[in-house]
Amino acid sequence: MTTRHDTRSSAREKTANAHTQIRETESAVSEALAALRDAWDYAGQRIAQILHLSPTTVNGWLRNERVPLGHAPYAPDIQALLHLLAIHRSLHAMFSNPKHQVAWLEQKHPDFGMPPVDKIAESIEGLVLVRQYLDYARGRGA
Amino acid sequence: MRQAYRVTQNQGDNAYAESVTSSSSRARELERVLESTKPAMPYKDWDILIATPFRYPLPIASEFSARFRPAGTMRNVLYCSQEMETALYEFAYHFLRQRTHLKDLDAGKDMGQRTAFCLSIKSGKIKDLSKHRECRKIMSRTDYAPSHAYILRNSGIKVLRYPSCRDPKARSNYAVFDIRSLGRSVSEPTYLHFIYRTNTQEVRFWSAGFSVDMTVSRSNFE
Repeated sequence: MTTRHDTRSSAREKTANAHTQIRETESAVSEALAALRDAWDYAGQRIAQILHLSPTTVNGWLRNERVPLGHAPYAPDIQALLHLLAIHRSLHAMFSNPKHQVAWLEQKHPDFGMPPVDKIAESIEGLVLVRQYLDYARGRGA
Repeated sequence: MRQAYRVTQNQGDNAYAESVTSSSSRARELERVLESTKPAMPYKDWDILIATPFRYPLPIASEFSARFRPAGTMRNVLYCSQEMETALYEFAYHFLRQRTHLKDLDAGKDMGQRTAFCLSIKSGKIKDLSKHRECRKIMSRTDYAPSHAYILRNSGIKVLRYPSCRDPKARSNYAVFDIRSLGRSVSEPTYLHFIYRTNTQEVRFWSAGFSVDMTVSRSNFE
């Protein structure tokens, strides 16, 4: 027979597990951000500039080794960061050499008529467009 | 049903998330949260390799424009080839398109894997472009305006067969506009290995499973 005490314990356990998962996710995103910074040799300030965020915000995420995600749908600053990480994921899949990833970002691209990093920095729409473009290009084997 | 082939990104591992996080559980969490920011996967009854090309947002943005995907249209397309070798030429074209404009790369090579697979098309719904009197013009290597005009005039086509302008033998490709014209599963998903040489801008790829070993360079498509 399940007692009220058992039910409360089970609820506490579920809450604790949910908190653990959230911490794991926030740490995972922070680790991915640090990996992007290192792979592309982009300082926190450069990342902040691309995403139109405050350097304090990005450097705080890196320093604290935690990105406070909140819940979906995510706040615009978190969404922007996740789109940039997805771009890193795509370029990582396309090019094993990080220098080639940066070259793809920073050199003029025939389909954008400008370096993709400039398209990203234009607006959130530009950021999403480059992410979706890379998803499409990877779908064709690029 | 007819068989066709397609090459896509490597399906075999979780390399990015594993390499940027410190544990498997964090890698899983990272993948989960990144996936949650993509559009929902439509057509869940089809294999993900078939459903993915029908996932992209509509209308088509100009940057995503392709042979039978004019900017502004409301139809996604799955491209595939009748022969594996033709699929490899098409893959090589898209592979090189993301690389040959890059300058001042270190001399060296880039190695990796992609996934090649086989799918099936319901043969009763195929329109054959090769019989069209303006086929050559529509299949221009450099100008997509005629193919865009053609497909806009023929918006009811569900599957189009057309000669590949990337394959030197001009063997057939298919553009599939309606997922219901495709079988729901894929077969023979196989690793395709590649080496890309930055100095010569050529890519060699091979697969024991499909008995292929080819080298293609930028000059193949000029």
